[in-house]
Amino acid sequence: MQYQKYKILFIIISGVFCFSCSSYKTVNTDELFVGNGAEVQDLDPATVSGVTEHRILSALFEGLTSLDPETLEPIPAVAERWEVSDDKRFYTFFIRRNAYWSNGEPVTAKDFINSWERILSPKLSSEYSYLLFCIKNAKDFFEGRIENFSDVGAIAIDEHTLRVELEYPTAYFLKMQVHNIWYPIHRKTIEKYGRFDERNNPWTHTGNHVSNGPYQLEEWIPNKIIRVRKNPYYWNKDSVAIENISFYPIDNQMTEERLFRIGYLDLTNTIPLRKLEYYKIKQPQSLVLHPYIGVYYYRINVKNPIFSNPSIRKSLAYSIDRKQIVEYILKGGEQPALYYVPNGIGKYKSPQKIIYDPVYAKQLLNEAGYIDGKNFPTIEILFNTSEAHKLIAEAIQRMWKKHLNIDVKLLNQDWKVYLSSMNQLDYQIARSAWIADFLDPINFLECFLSYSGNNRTGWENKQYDKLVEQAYRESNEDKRNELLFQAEEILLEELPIIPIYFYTWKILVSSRVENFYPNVLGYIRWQELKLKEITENSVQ
Amino acid sequence: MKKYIIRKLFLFIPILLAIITLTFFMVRLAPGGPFDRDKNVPEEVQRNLEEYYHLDESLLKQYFRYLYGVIQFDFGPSFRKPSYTIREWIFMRIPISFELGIYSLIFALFVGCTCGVVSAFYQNTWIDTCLTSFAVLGICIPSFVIGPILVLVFALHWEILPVAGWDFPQQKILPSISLGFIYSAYITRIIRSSIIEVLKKDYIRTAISKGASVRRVILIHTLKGALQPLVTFLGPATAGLLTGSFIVETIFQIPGLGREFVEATFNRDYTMIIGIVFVYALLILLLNLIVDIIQGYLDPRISYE
Amino acid sequence: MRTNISVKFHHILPELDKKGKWALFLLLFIILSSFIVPVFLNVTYDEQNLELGAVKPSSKHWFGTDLLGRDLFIRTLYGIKISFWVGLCATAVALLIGVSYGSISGYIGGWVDTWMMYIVDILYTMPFTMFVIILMTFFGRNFYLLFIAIGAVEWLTMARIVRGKVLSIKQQEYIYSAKALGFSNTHILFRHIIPNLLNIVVVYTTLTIPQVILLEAFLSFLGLGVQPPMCSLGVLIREGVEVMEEYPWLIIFPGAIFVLTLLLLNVLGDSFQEISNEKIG
Repeated sequence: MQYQKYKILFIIISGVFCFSCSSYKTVNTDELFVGNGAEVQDLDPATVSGVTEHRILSALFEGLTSLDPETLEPIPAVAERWEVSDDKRFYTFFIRRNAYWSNGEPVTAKDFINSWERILSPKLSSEYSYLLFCIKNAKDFFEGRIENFSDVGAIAIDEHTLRVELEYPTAYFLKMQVHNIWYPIHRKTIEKYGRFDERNNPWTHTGNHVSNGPYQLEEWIPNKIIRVRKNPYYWNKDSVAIENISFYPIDNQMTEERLFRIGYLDLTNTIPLRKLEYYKIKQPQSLVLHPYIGVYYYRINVKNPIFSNPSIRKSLAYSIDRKQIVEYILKGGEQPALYYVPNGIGKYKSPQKIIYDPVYAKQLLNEAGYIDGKNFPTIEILFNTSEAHKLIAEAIQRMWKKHLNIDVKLLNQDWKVYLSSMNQLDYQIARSAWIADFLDPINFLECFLSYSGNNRTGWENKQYDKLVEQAYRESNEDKRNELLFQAEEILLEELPIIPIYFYTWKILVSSRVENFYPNVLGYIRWQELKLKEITENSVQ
Repeated sequence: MKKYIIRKLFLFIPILLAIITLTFFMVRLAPGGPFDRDKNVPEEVQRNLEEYYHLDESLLKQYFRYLYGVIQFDFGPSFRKPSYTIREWIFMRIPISFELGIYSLIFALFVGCTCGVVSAFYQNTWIDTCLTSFAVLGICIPSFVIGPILVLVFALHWEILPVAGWDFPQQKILPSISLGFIYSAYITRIIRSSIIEVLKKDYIRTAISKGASVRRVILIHTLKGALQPLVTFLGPATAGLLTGSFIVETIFQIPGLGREFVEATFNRDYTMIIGIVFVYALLILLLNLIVDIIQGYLDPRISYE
Repeated sequence: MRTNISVKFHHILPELDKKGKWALFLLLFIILSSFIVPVFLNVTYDEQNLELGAVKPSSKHWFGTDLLGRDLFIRTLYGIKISFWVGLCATAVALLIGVSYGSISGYIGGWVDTWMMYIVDILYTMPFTMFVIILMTFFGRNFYLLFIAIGAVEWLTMARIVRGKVLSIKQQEYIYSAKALGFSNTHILFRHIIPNLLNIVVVYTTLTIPQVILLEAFLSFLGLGVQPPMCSLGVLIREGVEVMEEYPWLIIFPGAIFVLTLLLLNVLGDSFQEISNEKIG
C-alpha cells in the first residue's frame, strides 16, 4: 500500500522530467531565437542609444539606405535610388512607392522629416541628436537659434522625393543611414498615445508600435522577450525568410551561453571569456570571431603632473606586452593595438607607431629622471567593475612593475561612478574604449579634439585639431585619409591614450542559421537570414 | 485586535516616509547621474533632459514634488525606460518575484519540516547526524554557488530541466530550490530543536508509554509546539525570500524585481530605486504585521497593547 | 556578586563541548596558517604567470593556479585572511553600535527606551540588503566602507539582545547598592553592566561573523566586494563559479574552505549559545 504511493509519485515525477526534456529546443521551428544582452530601454529609434536596442530596431525599421552585410557598402532600402551633387553637399533620395508602414500606410518623405524634427526638438533631447548635425542648420535648430524646421536643410520635395542639404561634405553620410537615429517614424501613431516630442510615451508598447522595416512588433514583455513577426506590408517581404524572431534580454553571459549550448538560442549577444576555449575545440562552427571597429585603451590624465611629460606616457605605452594580453587573457582573436584607429575602415591605414620595447621604455623613464623607477609615485588604474577589465588591469600592473619597477594600484568603480570620475578628470589612468558610431576613421579621431566631450584626458593639440577640422571639410577621400593619418601620428606621438587591443565581434551562431555574414560593424541584416531544416540526427 | 491592526497600519506611514526620505537623499548623493554615458552626451541634451525630469530644481523641491506624487501613488516616470512609469513597471514585476518566493517557501517548508521531524525522531542516530550536518551546511553555501551547480548537474549534464527562463513549470524548479535551500536548512534546525524540546516533556512520554502511536504523537503534539518559533522565523524569512532573490533571478534569467533593482541602482534610475525600495518596505511591514497576528492566535498570552 | 548572573569568558572555554572545542581548534588552525604559511612560501598571492594560465593541482601548486597563473593555495590563504578581517571588523562595528545602543536604551529605560527600541523596530523593516547595495555601488571606493556598511546592518539584533540583558542586570541587587553608594551612571554602566554582557557578546560575535562573511560574498557576486588584486573567499568563489566546468579546482578548493570556515564558526557559535543558555538557564 505504502510502496504503491511511492510508485505513483515516482511515475509522476519522471513524467514531469520526460515532458520537460522535449519541450524547449529550437530545432525545426521557423522562429529565430536571439540572446540580446541587457533589456532595451525603449523601442523608439529617437531616444535609444545602445547596441542592444539597435539590433532590434534594425529589424523593425529601415532607413533610406542600408548596408550590404558583406561589403558594408550602402545599398538601396526605403530609397530606391539617390543622387549626389558634385560637391557632395546635396543628396536627393527617391523613396520607393511600395514602401509601407506596418499598418499599411505608405512611407513618405515627410515621415523622415518628422523623425528628424522630433529628434532635433529640444524637449525630446535625444542623446544621439548630434549625429544629425551634419544637416544644414540642424544644430542651430536644436540649440534654438532657428524656430522653424523648414529652415533646416531637409526638404520633402514631394511625397516620394527627399532632399538633404549638408553643412559640409560628409563622406560617411550614406553609411550612417543604418543608424537608428535616421529611421523614419509614424507621426500619427506617436501622437495617438501622447505628445509628439515627449519621451514618456507608450507608443512603443505591444499593440501600439508601428514600424516600416521587415518586421513588426508582436509583443514586448519587458525583461522577458521581444518578439517580432514578418511585416506583411514590407516592400521586399518575399525575400524575408524567417517568420518570427524572438529577442531575449539575457544580461548574464554565463546563462546565455548555457542556453545556447542546450539549443535554446540560435544567436547570442556575446560569449563569456572563459567559454572561448570550449567552443574552439568542441564547436568551432558555431563560434564567430570577427574584427570589430572598437578599440580598448587606457586614458591618461595629462593634467596630472606625473603624466604631463610625454616620454613618461610613452614609457608606459611601450612597456605593455599586448601580445600576452590578447593571447593569454582574451583569447578571442583580438589584435594588439599598436595604433588607435582599427583596420578595416575603407582604405584608411593607421600609422604603426607603438612598439613593445621594455628596454627602451625603461630608458625613457630613466631619462625622465626616475632611474629604475625610483621616486616614481604609485599610480592608479581606474576601471569599471568587470571581470575582463580586472584581469587586464592586473596583468598590466604586473608588466609595469616588472619592466619599469613602478607600483600600480587598481581601483574598480561602479559604471556611473567611473564615468563621473572620468568626466571630472578625477583619475590617473583609466580604462576606456571606443566603439564607432559609423564606419569612418574620423569618428575615432574626433574624440580627441580639444573641445570634444569625449576627450576626457585634458590633452589638447592645436595642430591635431586643425588637421581633423580640415578633414571634415575635405571631399576627396585620399586627401582626407592623409589628413587623418597625420592627425593620428600626432596622437600616437603624444600618447594621451595607450591603445591596448582591438575588439573582436564574439558571438555564437547555431548551425541552422544561414546567410549570416560577420562584419566589422557587428551589423546583422535580419531579413537576409535563413534557417536550415535540421533533422535530429544531424544535431547530435 | 482590530484596534491593534489599525494602529499598526497608521504607524506604517511615518516608517514609509522615513524610508522614502532616506533612499531619496541617498541616491541623490551618489556620484554619476542617470544620463551619464560612455559616449559623451552633449551639454545641451543633458540640460534638456534634466529640465524634462525636473532634475534641475533644488533637491528639496524635487523631494516634495516626489512625495506629492507618492501620496497619489505615482512614482514618476522611469529614467531608463522612458515609455513606462514606475508604477506600471513594478506591477509587472511583482507577481513574478512573488511566485518565485512562494515556490521557494513551499520547498523550504516541505524539505525543512520533513528533515526536522525525521531527525528529531531518530535523534542521535546516523540519520540525525546526516540531516543536521545538511542543515548546518545549508546555511553555509551561498545561493550563487548552489544555483550554477544545480544548473550544471540537472540542466547541462542530465538535461532533464531547463537552464533558465520563467515560462513553464519545469523552469521554476531549479530557481525555487536554489533560493529555498538556505531556508530549508534553517527550518530543519528550528523544527528539530523544538520537537526535541517537546519530546522531553512529561505528558508526551506518558502518551508514548501508554501506547499511543509515536507518529501520531509527533504530528499532533510536537508540531503544534514547533509552530510558534517557525512563524517567528517565517516572517522575516518570507520577506527575505521575496526580496533576496537578486542572485537567483540573475542566474536563471527571471524577470523579477530583484534583478530590476540591481540594474536600476547601477544605472541610477532614481525613481525606480525608490519605487522598489518602497514596495519592499511595505511588504516587510505587512508580513511583520501578519506574523504578529498569527502569533496572537497561537499564543493567547501575547496581548496587543 | 556579579558572577552569579553571568558567565565570564574564561569560564566558557573549558566548558565547551567536544564539538565546540574541535571547531575552535580547527578555526584557530585555519586562521593561524593563513597568517603564518605565506611567510614560508616564496610566492605572493598576486604573482602572475600568464603563459602558464590555469593548471590543475600539482605538487608545485597544491590547489592549482587561476586564469592568470596565480597560485590558488596562497590566494585561498590570503582570501581567508581578508574574509576574516572583513568579518571581524564589521562585527566590531556592529558590536560597538549594538552594545552601546542597547545598553543605553536598557539602562535609562522609560520613554527613552521605548523610543530607542521603536527606532530599532523601524530599522528592522528597512530593506537593508538594498541599502548596502546602494551604498556599495555609490561609494564603493573605500575598503573600510565595506565593513562599516555591513556592520551598520548587523547591529540591530545585537542591540535588542543587549538591551534585554541590561534590563535584567538592572534588577540585580548590586546595581541598586552601587546606586545607593552614589556611583555615577557612567561608572555603573561601564564598570558593572557592560562587563557582564561579555558572554552574550561572545555568543553573538561568533554567530555574526559567518553572516558577515556570507554577506561579503554576496556583495562580491555583484562585484561590490573588496578591490582587486585583494581577494576574499567570496571573490575567489565568484571567480570559480564562472569557470567551474573548465577549471573545477578553482571552485572546489576556495568553496570547501569557505564552507568549512562558516561551518566551524556556526558550530562554535551553537556551542557557546548552549553553554550560556544552560548557565543563565
